Amino acid sequence: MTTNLLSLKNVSFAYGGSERLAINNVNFSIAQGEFVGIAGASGAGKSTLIRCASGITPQFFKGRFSGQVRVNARPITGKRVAELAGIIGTVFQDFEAQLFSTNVRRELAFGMENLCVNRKIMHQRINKIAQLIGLSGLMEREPQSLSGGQKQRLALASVLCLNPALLLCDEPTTDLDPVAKNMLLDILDDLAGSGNSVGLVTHDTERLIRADRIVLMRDGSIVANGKATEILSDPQFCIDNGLFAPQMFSLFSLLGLKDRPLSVDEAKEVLDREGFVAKASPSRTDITMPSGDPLITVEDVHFYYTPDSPVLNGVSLEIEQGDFVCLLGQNGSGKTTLIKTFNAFLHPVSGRVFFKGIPVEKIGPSKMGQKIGFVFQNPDQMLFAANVFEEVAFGLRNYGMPEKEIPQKVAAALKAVGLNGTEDIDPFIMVKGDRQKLAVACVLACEPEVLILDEPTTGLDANEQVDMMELLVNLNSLGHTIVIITHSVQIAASYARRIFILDSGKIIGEGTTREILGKSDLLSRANLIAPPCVRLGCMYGLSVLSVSELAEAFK
Amino acid sequence: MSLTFYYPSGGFFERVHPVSKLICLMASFVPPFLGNEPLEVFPYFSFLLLAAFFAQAGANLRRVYKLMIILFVMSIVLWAFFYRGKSALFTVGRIVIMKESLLYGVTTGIRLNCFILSAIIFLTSTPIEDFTYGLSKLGMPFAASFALTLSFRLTPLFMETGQAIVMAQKARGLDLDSGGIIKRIRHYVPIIVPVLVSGLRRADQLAVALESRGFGKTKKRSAISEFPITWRDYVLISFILVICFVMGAHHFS
Repeated sequence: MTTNLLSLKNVSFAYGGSERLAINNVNFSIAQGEFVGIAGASGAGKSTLIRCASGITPQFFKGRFSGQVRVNARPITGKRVAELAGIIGTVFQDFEAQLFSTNVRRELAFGMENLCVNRKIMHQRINKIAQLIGLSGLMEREPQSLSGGQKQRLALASVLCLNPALLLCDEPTTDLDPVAKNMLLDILDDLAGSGNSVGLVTHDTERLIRADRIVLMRDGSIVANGKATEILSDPQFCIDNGLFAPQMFSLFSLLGLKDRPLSVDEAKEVLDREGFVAKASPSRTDITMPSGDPLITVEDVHFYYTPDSPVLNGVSLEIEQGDFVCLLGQNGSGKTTLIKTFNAFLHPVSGRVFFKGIPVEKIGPSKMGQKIGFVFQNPDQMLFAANVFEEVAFGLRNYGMPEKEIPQKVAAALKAVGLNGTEDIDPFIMVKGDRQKLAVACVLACEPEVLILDEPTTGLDANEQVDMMELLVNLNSLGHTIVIITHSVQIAASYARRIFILDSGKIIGEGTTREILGKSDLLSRANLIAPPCVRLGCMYGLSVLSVSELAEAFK
Repeated sequence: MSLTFYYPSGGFFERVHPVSKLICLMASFVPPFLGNEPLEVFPYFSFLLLAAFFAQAGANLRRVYKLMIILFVMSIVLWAFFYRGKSALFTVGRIVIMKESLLYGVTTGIRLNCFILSAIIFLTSTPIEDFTYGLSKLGMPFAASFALTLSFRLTPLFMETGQAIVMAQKARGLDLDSGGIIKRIRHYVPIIVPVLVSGLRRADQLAVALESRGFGKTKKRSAISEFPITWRDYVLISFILVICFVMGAHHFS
């Protein structure tokens, strides 16, 4: 019999004075050496489960707690989180807040210093973990100077240095590029293989399926518990729980096959065995290209903060009116810096940016706001008003809209994002998906011609992601030009019409979505990986963008 | 772009034990009070300035020299009003400028800049962790010294967040520079609210992250860095003591 390293018995918790139980009578366990994935829609109680399991709730989050949490068969109730460090390690979603040291080495040492670890052992562990996580070359760097993905890896490494028997991770991969995501999963896999226990919360089902077992939560309760191939086998069930079904599972479900392959290779094997033959790609009528009038023109733009580390290295591109463009690239490739030059927020060191042929620095950043609407990655960095109405009206007033026209404009913007009727709500109590939509509404109200969104789907569950992207498709069809920045190839494949691939401050590829996704060497040069359906399609010489296209080819 | 003052140079000051450095920092605040005339404090100021370049604090000086000039000018202007002198020097409109007040203002201005220079040298050559270590070695509980130095860690982060927020609001048409004084202050509301909210949120998360990594588990703590006491410690401490002694002898004689 395997022993349970962690066990929760009848655990319930409600935050503050709230009546609603964030988790309700949950029974949950992780055996020694087991890798458990925890999934579910936003607000299902996944983070609360992690917090209860690590003792963070109820110590840090006040509320009504009941039930028992045991680690190594001993109850942890009443123990301080600090006392549990070294046994339980927790990696949080917001990696920025976990880093505070002068350099990477000291960041890694901090936890071990607290546990009075001997200096020699500290150095050994730091070197080992840094190599494992790929931070070896960065030991003297300031954590704040690292890219998002490197920071996220550092947050994980700083916890791994404590050698915890139980590692709990709450969305540790949101800012990693696909290659780094896979690497992180390999590390978690290895940890479990060497006897540690791992609990991983993620929306990323393509990687979740590698866990030994999956626990699915809904409304604070565990609704399913078992192997990925059993739990996620029904695509509709996945969607109902805020998850994208793993693409190979969806494909096999569409083809009426019982198997649920965990990888593209496995899928190919089964398809060959069952005698499936792919028909040549039916000629696809992709949505035709827009008018061709250039809206934003970037000419040989160079940018750096310090001359020895250039951020943009001669970028030239043209965005046409009415297009739906995706800037794809790994973290630190210069995507965000590039879009900031569109609005004259940043001035290129050399090269020029034009809006409809006029240099943007002549128009100026605050006037450009009416032409190009920006939605930054973190909606919390722009929301400030006491209610939704005031928040949306802010931009309109700044641009001198007559007061009597404002209510109508606000209502229209809120309707467009599906938040109508929320005018009196305080933005800060909204869930993340809604705050993100509100940020879009704020920008949309000023009726810009172009809408630029930086990572619009990060941290959202499947349904929220689809909602957000459908909203953009809708706005695009109304004539807005859409530019999104993302490192999710899946999102680009499903929604973009044109893709630019940015790597180390250079555009290394540009073309229609179908053209770009077919070039796997180009993608891998930028540390990107095409979604499973695209890769499987490639094996049959097909250029498909979605599971349904691929399924059609097999019928 | 570095956000903190610390500049890893591996030089003389960096290799002095943090406790010695803290003692010297405190001792370096004494000499400015041992001179009453500009000419008595100016040599010490020039010495600190040289020391600052020796400590490779040039880049940091460039960041604060405006503040130093403002302090200097403010000191002269303020003391011209508040320090009573005897001998009139010249008049500006209806205000009579006294020789003594002017000299006192200049002296105080140099003193203030001496403090800044000492602090810059210390911060340039000392990682925050060593600062914390030094304070706790001097008897301050680790939690207290960590909290004290936390402000040095968090200020640059807040500034970074602040810049991001300013950019986000400017994109919504916020014009910070228009209108009268009241209107201008009101313009900062859309900046201050998100800065505070994200600051509070961050502090909450930091508390959890610190404890998860064993912060405060035991009173004793080990340290990754080694701090051997070398000739540098003796040289630096003796140097400061000699300066204090020489200036003190001159002052009290």
